Amino acid sequence: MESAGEMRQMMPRIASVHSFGGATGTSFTANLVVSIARLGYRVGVIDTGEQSPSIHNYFALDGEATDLVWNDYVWNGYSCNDDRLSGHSGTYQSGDRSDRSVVSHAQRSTGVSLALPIVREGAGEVVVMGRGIYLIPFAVRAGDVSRVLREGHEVDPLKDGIHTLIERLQVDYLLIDTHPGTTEEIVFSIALSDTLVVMLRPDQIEYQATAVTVEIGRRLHVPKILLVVDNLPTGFDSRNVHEQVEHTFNTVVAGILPYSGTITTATGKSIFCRQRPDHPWSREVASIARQIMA
Amino acid sequence: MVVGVILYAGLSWLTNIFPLATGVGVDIRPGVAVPIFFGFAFGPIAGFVSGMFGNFLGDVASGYIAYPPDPTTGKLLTDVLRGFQVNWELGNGLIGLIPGLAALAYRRYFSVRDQLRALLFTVVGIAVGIGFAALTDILIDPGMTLQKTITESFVPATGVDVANAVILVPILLFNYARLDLRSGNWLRSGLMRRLCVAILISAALPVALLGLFLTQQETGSHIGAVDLTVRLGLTILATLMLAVANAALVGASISRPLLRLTRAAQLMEAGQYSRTQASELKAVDTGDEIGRLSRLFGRMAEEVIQREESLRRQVQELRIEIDHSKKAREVAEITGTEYFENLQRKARELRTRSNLASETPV
Repeated sequence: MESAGEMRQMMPRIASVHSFGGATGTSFTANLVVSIARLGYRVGVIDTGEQSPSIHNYFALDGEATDLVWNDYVWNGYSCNDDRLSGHSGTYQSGDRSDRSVVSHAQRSTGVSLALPIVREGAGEVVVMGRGIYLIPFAVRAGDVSRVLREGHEVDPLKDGIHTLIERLQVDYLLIDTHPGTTEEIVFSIALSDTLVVMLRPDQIEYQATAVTVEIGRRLHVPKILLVVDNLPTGFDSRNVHEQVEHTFNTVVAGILPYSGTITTATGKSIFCRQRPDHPWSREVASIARQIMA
Repeated sequence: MVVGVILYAGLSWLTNIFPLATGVGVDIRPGVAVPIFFGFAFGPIAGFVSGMFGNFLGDVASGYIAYPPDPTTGKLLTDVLRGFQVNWELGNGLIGLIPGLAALAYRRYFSVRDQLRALLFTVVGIAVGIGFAALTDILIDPGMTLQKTITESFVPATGVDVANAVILVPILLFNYARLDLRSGNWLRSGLMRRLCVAILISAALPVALLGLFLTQQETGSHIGAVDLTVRLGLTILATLMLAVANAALVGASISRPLLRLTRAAQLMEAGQYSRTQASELKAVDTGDEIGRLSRLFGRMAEEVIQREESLRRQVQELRIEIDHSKKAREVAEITGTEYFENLQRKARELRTRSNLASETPV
């Protein structure tokens, strides 16, 4: 494995995880983020969804407070003296609410203490961001995106925005957890992504939605599109399902997650991969993570 | 019925000719159990006939029938009755008839209660049968008195018969109740053959050893009492060990394949039985019923596993149907906008982050 330091010099990768079910998608994204971070990377995760629980809950963080910090930090340029975030990153003890000590604070010029929600995960780190973090810079507000796209500025605020975000976060991977639907924001996140992960459950409505999402991904020239079959009921042969889904959507199936009562109850607001890293389910998630990284 | 007659006659004759352990006070007369058993098992007629004619044939064979009787009375009827011991034949018939009558009302011999009930009828039958014969002796035998017939005939004969019947009838009924005689194959049973051989060996061994021991005693009779006791003890010990070893071997040979079969059934129930295990079981060939059952079970398990697999293959196909025209409509709705067209144009550019560090001033 290459060291995280070396990797940081490389092009950061953006993957968006698209699911139709809401909470299960967020739970899966949290597990995915942990699996990648464990390999020694710094992974950013953005939860764009409106549903509860949000990604913060999985990492036992206070969403609203941290989001304000991030927004200020990323878009308004507020930060402490050292500009490099990694230089003074605070560490949250993962998953342990009793030990949510903020190790370091970013000092705003106004004198207000700011906490940077970075969670150490194995050899890597997870940078957790929620609804307050927008993929579109503050300067370009919703509705302006169309105008910016149409006008084709010499200096592209959208592109610069993403670059700023990634540069500020210093991440190797950025995962975007999107909510169900095909709003402009979601389509935009797909357009940004190097990898589009579509999660589908064995259900006619989701098959149809998957077909549409995959097609959008193709039109936006996403280099890699992966499917993840979730909640496969017992009694199905995963090899058959793998083949069949791959054939139907003409898209690579990165993994199949069987339905399991244990996991459903265990993942309430915690990350299963963390509790049971050797469980077959966790191993499957890790395998999906590797395919996103490949 | 004929079987009963022959059995009773044969056993009576045998025990009459070769008296076992005479002088102990109780004759060994296992034959008496035959009519009683036939009565319980096959009804009053079978019991009566096997008792009556079995006894008659046995007496004839043993030379107990003497006609004309000694002394003769001159009255033809009395002489015939007495010479052919008709009252005794009838009495023996009653011994079988009474259990037979009881069996008409109730013919189950599974529980201890059933067995005790049967024993009661056995004792009543014997008492009535012998009583009838002993009392009628007074009428046909001029030298017979009531007291004499009770003390010399009724009491000892009843005692002997009851003693024998009490030992044998429950065993016979116990096995009969669990025996499925209707199955035509039971005579060819491999398990029965094995058990018979094992039990015969177990029975023959101590007899042979003791016999040898006894003959030695006869010939070389100058051994001390202590030595004698030690030898006898050793003989008994050796016999016991052989019998136990034999029983253990037979027991294991029956229980092991049964345990394996039970385990297989448990696994099958849990859905963990593999096809290789099934084919292993199918190959079992011990030549008895358990082996046959194992083979059958293995074959059945294989069939079931195969059927389950093919069923699973059918069920496990997902049904994925995509409405392509609907999909095209939905895609067009999204891609048809100016926003999307612009985004599409820019998408590749947005992803280009290779020279990020140098491009973006911090």
